[in-house]
Amino acid sequence: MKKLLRTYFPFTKAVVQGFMAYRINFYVYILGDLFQIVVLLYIWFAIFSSATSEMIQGFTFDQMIGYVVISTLTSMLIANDVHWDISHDVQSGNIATSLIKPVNYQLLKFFYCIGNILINIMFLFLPLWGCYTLYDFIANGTLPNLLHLMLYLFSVSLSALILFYINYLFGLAAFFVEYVFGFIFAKEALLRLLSGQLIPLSFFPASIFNLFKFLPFAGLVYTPTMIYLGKYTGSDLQFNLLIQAVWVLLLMGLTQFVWNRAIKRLTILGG
Amino acid sequence: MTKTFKRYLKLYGMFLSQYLKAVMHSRTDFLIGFLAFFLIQFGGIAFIALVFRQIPDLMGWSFYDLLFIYGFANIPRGIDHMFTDYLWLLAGNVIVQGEFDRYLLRPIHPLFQIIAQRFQPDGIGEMIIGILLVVYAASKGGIEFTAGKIILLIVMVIFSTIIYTSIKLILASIAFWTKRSQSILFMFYSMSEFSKYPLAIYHKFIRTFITYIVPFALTAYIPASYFLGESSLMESLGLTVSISLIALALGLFIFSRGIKQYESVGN
Repeated sequence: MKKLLRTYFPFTKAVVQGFMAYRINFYVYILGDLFQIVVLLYIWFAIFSSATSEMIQGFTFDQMIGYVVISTLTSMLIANDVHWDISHDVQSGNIATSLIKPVNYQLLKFFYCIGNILINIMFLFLPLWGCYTLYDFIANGTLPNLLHLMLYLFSVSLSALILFYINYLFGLAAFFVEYVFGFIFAKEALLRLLSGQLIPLSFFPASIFNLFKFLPFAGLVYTPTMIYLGKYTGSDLQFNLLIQAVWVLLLMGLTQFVWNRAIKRLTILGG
Repeated sequence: MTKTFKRYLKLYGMFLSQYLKAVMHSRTDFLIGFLAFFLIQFGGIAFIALVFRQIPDLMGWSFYDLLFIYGFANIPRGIDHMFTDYLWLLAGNVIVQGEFDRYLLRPIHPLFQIIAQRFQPDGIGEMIIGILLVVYAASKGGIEFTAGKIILLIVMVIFSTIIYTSIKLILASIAFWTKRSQSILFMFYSMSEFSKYPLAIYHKFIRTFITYIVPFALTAYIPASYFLGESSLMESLGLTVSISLIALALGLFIFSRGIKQYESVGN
C-alpha cells in the first residue's frame, strides 16, 4: 500500500500543481457554468409561481433550490477529465511511453482523477457549499443534517467511482473513433439528462423513472442529492446505495474487458 | 468593389469544397457530431416538456411558445457555429503557437481567411433541429406564417447570426493582447443560455444586460416575440438590426486594432 502510494501519488500531485498555474482560467470557465444555474433558478421560480399547488412532484420551492444547488455541486465535485487525458494520450501516441513504464495504466489515471477531485473539493465544492449553507441558515434557519451529510459523503464517493469508470471508457473510445470531441460532447449531454442534473428524475413519467433508477447514471447525481436532502430513508436509501455499489463493480469489470480489446488495436507510428 | 467581392466568394467556395471533401471522407465523425448536438438540444426540449407536465402555462406562455423561442435560438447559433468556428481556435492556441503569422502574409484579408479556414458541420444539426422546432411549434401553437412573415423570419435570423459572430469576434480578438482568450469567450458565450426562455422571467438587471450589453436576447426571445404577437415589428426587428450592426462594427474595429498591435511570438 505504501509502495503503491509512493509510485502513484506523484501523478496526483502533478495535476494539482498544473492546476495552480491556471487557476484564473478555471474560475472564468466555472463562471460560465454558473450562468446555467442562474437560468435554472429563474426558470424554477417562474414554474413555481405558475403552478396551481405549492408542491411539485414532492418538492417545495425551497427544496427545489436545494436540489439545483446540491445537484450542481455534486456534479462539480465528481467531475474529472480522465477521458480527455486518455484520448490525448492515444491520439498523440504518448500512450506508448506510459505502456512501457512499469505502472498500471488504469491506476495511473485513477490517481490523476484523485488530483481532479482534490482540486474540485478545495477550490469549488467547499467554498460554494459554504456559501449555500450560510445562505440556507440565514434565510431559512436550517443547518445541514449530520447523518444525511455522512451518508451523502459515502454515496458521492461511489458516484465519483462510477464517473471515473464511465470517463475511462469514453477515453478508451479514442482507440475506436477519431472524432472524440463530438463523442464526449454527446456523452456529456446525455449524462446531464440521465443523471438528474438538469431536472429531478422523478419528473419523468413513472415507467421511464423506474427504468432510470436501475441505470448507472442516476447514481451519479440524483441518488447523492436526494440523500443530502433527506428524501431517501430506510429501504429507499439501502436500495439506491446498493445500485450504486453494483454499478461500480460492473463498470470495473467492463473497463478491463474494453481495455483488453482496445490494446490489441493499438498501432503506434514511429517513435 | 464587386470584383473583390466576387473573388472572395469564389475563394470561399474553393475553401468550402476542400473542407466538405474532408467531411465526406469521415462520415462517422459527421454523424457523431450531429448526434452530440442533437442530444444537447434534446435535453433542453425534454426539460421544457417535463416541466409542462406539471403546469398549464409558464407565466402566460404556452408549451409551444417556449418551443418556438427555443427552436429559434438554435437557428442563428447553428449557422454561426458552421461558419465561424475558427474564432474558438483563435481564442485558443493559434496566437501562442505562432500560426497567425501566415494569415498576415497572404494577399487576402486576414478575417476572411479565418472564416474560410474552417467549416463546422456540427452546426448543421443545430440549425436543422432549430428549424424543425420552429415549424412544429408554429403549426401546433397556431402561429400563421405568410410569405412575408417567412421572409421576415429569415431576415431576423441573419441579423441574429451577426450578433453571435460579433460577440465571438470581439472576445476572440482579445487574444491579440492576451495571447489566449478562450475562457473569457466561453464565459460570455454561456450567457446565450439566458436567451432560450422568455425575458420576463428574469430580474430587470439581467434583462437589460442581455439586451444591450451582451445582446444574446436579440438572438432568440426578442425576434421570436414578434411572431408570438408579444412585441411590435419596430421593437423586435428594429432593435435586432441596429444592435447587431453596432456589435459588428465594434467587432471589426477591435479585430483590426488587434492585428495592428499583434506581435508574433516567432517560431
